[in-house]
Amino acid sequence: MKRREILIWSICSILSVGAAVGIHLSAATVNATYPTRNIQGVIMWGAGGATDTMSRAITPYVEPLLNQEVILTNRSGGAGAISTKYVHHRKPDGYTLLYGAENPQLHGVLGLSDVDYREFYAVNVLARGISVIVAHPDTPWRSLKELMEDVKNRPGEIKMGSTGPGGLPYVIGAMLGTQGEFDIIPVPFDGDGPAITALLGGHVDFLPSGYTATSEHIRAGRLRALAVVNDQEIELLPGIPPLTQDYPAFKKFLPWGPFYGVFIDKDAPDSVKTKLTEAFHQGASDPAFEKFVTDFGAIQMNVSGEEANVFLKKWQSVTTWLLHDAGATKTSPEAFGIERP
Amino acid sequence: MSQALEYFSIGWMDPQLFFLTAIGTFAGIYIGAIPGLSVTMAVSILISFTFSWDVNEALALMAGVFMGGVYGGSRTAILLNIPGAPSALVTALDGYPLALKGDAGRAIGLSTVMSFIGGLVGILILMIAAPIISNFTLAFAPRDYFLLAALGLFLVGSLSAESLSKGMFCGALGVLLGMVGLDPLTAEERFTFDTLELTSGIPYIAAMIGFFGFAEILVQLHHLDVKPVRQNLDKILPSLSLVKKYLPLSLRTSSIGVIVGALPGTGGDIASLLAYDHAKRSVKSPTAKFGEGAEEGLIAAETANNAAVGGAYIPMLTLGMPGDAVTAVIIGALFIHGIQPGPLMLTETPHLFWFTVGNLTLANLFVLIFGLTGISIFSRIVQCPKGILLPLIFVLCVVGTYAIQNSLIDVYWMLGCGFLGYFLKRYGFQVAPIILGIILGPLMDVSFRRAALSVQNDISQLLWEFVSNPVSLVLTSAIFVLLITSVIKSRQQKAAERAD
Amino acid sequence: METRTQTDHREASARTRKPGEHLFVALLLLVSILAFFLSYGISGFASISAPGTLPLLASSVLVASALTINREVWSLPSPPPDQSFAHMLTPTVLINFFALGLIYIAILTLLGFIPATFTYLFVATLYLHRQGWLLAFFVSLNSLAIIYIVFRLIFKVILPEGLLES
Repeated sequence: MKRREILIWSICSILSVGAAVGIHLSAATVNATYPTRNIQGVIMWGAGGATDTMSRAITPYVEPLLNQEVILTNRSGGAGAISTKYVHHRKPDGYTLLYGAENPQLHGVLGLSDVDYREFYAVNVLARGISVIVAHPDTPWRSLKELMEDVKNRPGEIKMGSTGPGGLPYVIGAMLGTQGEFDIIPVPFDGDGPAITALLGGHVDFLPSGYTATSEHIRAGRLRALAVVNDQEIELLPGIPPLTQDYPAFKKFLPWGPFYGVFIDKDAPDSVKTKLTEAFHQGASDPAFEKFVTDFGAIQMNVSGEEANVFLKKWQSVTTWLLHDAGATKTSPEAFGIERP
Repeated sequence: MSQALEYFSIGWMDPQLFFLTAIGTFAGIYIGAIPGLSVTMAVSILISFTFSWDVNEALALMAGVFMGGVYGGSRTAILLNIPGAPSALVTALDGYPLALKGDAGRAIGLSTVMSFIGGLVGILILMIAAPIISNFTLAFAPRDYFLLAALGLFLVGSLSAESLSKGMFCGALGVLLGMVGLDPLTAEERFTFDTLELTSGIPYIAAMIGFFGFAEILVQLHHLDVKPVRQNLDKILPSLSLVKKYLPLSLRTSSIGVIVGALPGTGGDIASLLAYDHAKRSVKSPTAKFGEGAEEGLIAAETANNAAVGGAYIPMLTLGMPGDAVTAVIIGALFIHGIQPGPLMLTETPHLFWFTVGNLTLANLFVLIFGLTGISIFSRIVQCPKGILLPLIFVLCVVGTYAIQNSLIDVYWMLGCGFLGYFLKRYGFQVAPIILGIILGPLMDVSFRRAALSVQNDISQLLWEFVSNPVSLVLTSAIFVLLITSVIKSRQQKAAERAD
Repeated sequence: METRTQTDHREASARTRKPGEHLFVALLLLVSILAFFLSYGISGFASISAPGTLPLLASSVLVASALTINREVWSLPSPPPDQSFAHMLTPTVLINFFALGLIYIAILTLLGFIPATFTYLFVATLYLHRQGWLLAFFVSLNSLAIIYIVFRLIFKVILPEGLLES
């Protein structure tokens, strides 16, 4: 009995070990230069979010160019701080990519972590999202101006869908607040999805939100767009006035919006940086990906290196100071050497 | 109508789609069964995998994985007392005692048939009433989510077998564990002790694997030399009359599943908890005491979590809004495939709705087929010598926990929870209320605060809203009825004890 | 969870305290009180929508129920002398298994997934099953291969890498 048992187990073992080795070998290709093995891609937000979708959309275009698989994992938490720190602490050999959004740029002033994109090399800032201010169709407002005036007339009565400090609606709310008295009831949600659902149900009155998640509702007439957060009208959204139309003072904050990019530790070797930059640039230039970005309601950027840094720096300066002036920061941007815009 | 039928049958007629749905369902069952491999994760991987495919093919595969995965969680729950997914948590409560009695085969057979029925009800309601249900779910304000979560917490009473105070202790402990990390509304740190690792909180799957899986291993070490119960494999398939007998219950629990599944932010886990509570209150004479192998408990859990799948598709297909984490990923996949998810999808890509309905029906059928084959092999797992099984399960617990987000910290959490869970179990505490607290706590927290903020922290206004809005009124009265019946019941019990 | 042991417990708890039970529940009370103060520390009694409100509520329930449990347990007669803490809660096999588990996780980060898991499975199976090293060897090899195929190759889970590996 015992001998038979051992025999069965050993046959199983040989088969399964054989299979494991077989699959493994077939997956690996012989390659002399970087990358010689699978690359790990760490996505800083959870499955199904905008950052996740963007990351999973670009990766298949890049994999054949790198001749390696990029294994994507979601590692959310601490508003992206966990992923950012994790990638920063890995060996800077280019085998760990950070798929991130704008959040790390605010981590310092919000007291979450002191690692931001200054510690990284921007392989590619893929796109920036467009934001819109939307209202429930039952509300009387036809424009941002009407909304803002109503807020002045009925202070503390109008509900705005928001997020925690640093989130998109929160920052746009802070922007609106720079135009004098702005006494609304902010109701925080933990993402675009839940906030839009609440807006559709009339549980909040208006919401600054990413265009992606609202566009179809606007088109179907279930939501009314009051303004687009940009300094000029956007092709995708004909007829929706830019934020600056009634309030030119917003100009200094714009363009502003969430962005999505791929980063590696800044200490990675130059050859790795070049290889990745080229691959991602080519991948992001694929017409099919460009179409995806547009469908997704974002504006393609496809910039890297120094060009990306200029953008990242301006974004950080505008947003941190905006938050600081709204009293939402724990530490002044000054402490991190961030200049006032 | 004929148009609908034509779209419905796309997935059935095309051999490739048919095959993909089958593969998806089959793989889904195993993904669901292995703790740590979640359906959300699998569907995310499928995005890259199906990237260059036709959208129908990708959706067929995903629907299969979703349907199979939700069902698959019951396997390990019944056989090893380790729920493969949070939605199978409740399945373990009565499924595992059945396996210990040597009825694992029958439990799996019953849960398969009931999952099929639940899935079918979910799909039917999706098919007939999707727009109505989705408008209904929009009427749920933050305060209603709070009331729903509060209703769910009443389950602590149902789940604490021995003493209510122990159950309440575990429930409250779970709520607190669920609070660890950054507050999602203000980014304030709670119980993080200033460490970055704790800001993401304790993943509840890690806690679940610890409190159920690892703690169970430790308990089992006491019975190393106890010969495993011989599994009775004669009557695996439940008889038609049995199914008929349970039909009213399964229809009720399925309906709970669909509604809760359709609510954004709540899924199969909460659905099965509420359904279990309902079964426990409505069934007067279960086959065994609830928690000790009642078939009714198993049925409630399995119908509700599979019905929640159809429910989760409702807001996705009618509004383009996710009903749960899995549909959120599927929405991402639609974008990548060039379809704009939204309220216009029903009119602009009309085939999508009926195609999905057809696919889900097919996947549900495969659940029945794959679920009923190979049960005897699975049941034998319980008969495997413990000395071999326990180390293997331990490795699975570790790898499964690590797989959630590649973090060793989570593994330590799992160990800690398991260690605590072992002592709690040995001293007669139930660990299920802890998981209940971890699942419901955060929902209760954010929705209560959202509701409070909406009325600017005016408590009297909030209380007024609890009774002035139809949805809230229904939920508030449900809570009151439960509260009153519980009090009366415990009075009666005390009186009966005194009479003894 | 397990019906058999549960009924054992119930019979026992109806009459006497389990060994170490009073200390355990006292510890739970202590932790509950600590949790209450930590909850208070989050935002005090600022407002009903503050981040600390539900933690305060939950930890109050925790303290209250821990008090009740303590009252119940301490009023029970002490356990019979034939039941010892070590026998009921920490038999040698349990301590050894737990220690093995901890060692496994420690070497996981040192050696990497494959060698660590194989070593662990081999030693643990040998220790618990006691049917000879040959069987243990093949069982461990087999289990490892299956886990590796399912997690790493099919579902693309990144498994722990050892310090020596990379």
